Amino acid sequence: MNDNNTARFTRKGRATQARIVDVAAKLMFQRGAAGTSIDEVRNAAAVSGSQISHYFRDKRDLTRKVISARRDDVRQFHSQPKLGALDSFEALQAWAEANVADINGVYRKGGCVYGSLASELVEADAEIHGDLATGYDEWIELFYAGLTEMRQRGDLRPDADPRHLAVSLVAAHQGGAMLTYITDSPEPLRAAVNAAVEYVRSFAPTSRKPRPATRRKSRG
Amino acid sequence: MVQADLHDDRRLTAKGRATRDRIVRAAAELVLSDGLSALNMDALRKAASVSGSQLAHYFTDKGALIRAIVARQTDVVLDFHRQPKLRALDTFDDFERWIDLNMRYLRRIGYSGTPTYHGLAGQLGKSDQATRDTLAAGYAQWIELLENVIQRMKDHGVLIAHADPRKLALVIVSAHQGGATLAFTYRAEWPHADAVRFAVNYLRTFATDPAERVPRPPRHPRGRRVKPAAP
Repeated sequence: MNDNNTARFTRKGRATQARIVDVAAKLMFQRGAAGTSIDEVRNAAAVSGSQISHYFRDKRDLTRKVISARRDDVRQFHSQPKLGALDSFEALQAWAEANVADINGVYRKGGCVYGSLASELVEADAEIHGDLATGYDEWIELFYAGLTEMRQRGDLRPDADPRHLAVSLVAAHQGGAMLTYITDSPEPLRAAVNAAVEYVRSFAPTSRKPRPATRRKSRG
Repeated sequence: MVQADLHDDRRLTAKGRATRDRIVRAAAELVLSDGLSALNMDALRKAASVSGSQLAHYFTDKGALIRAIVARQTDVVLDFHRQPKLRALDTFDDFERWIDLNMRYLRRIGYSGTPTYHGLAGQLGKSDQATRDTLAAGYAQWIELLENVIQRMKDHGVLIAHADPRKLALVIVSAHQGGATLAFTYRAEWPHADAVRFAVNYLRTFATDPAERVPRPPRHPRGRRVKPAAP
């Protein structure tokens, strides 16, 4: 979506652009988007000013490319093999544990790589909100697909609402990450992601009779 | 530091407090619309219609001003939880009202132009350690308030002995802040509705009464449909 001007670069050019985005993403993670200037990115990436303006129209353009890169990071995190298709209690617990394992290395240093951008850019323009919402859509969809599968399989009761549970998992993570960063304590994120997974578990059927596959219309 | 600022506040006359509050409000709005870097004393003087010497009288530096902005927002959050409609916030009915009032508040302030705690945390969190500490102090007060009400629910036998008030308080505040972050990104209320519903339903999983343990569905219009105004 915001990469429509990337195609005109050579492979080497795209690599340089990606490297600058990576440097900018790291700086923004440490100091925030507002606290990161184009000049600082230029220095940290050791590129010239004309190179920067060749690859990025302005700071806003750079910020949008950082959002896009962080969206990829979130997708990548959720496609680690141990998380499977996020379609079992074990996989969801592994998700909670993978987040907890990153608390000192990531969350206490700058919060969520994605959420800290979203929460900082709260007053940004509609296009940037659209970019950020698209990332959340993808994230929610990852959980939604797995939870829908679980309900069809009978791991979750018919009254479990996969969309509500998916949003709950993401929201718990985002708030927990925010509090863990601000308070510099592992407690909030740990409590939040574990609670969200327990919440999903609370929708398990009480008697685990195998349930015939539902005749629900197949999900897109 | 928050303490010292509060003491300053108490030394002021009623008129002085009103002026100070006007400055803090204007400062919060400036930060909100243009970011922390836009918060310079000149812009603030104009926005709050005060003189430079008045400004200097109330706030010795930008740091003190930022701490005052955060402290003011902390009061907004704490006052929200202490409003009479929520009573002692120590029954599930009170927490259901907490959900309604949260959604009503969100509808009232909209997604732009009014400072919020998650917005300040997002916008100021990465500026410097002192600001982060002030934001953390606000969260600590909010968490403590909820910890106390949840302890009371345990004492009254509403929650089982196994319920951990601190953990539950952390979950509720986290869910609230995460839901708000998503709601403000989507410019839609459904993420917040899901998040606060999760928080209260999770609390319900620790209910002593089996009827209270039953999860309630989130109350929100799906998608971006706007509910017609109540007659």
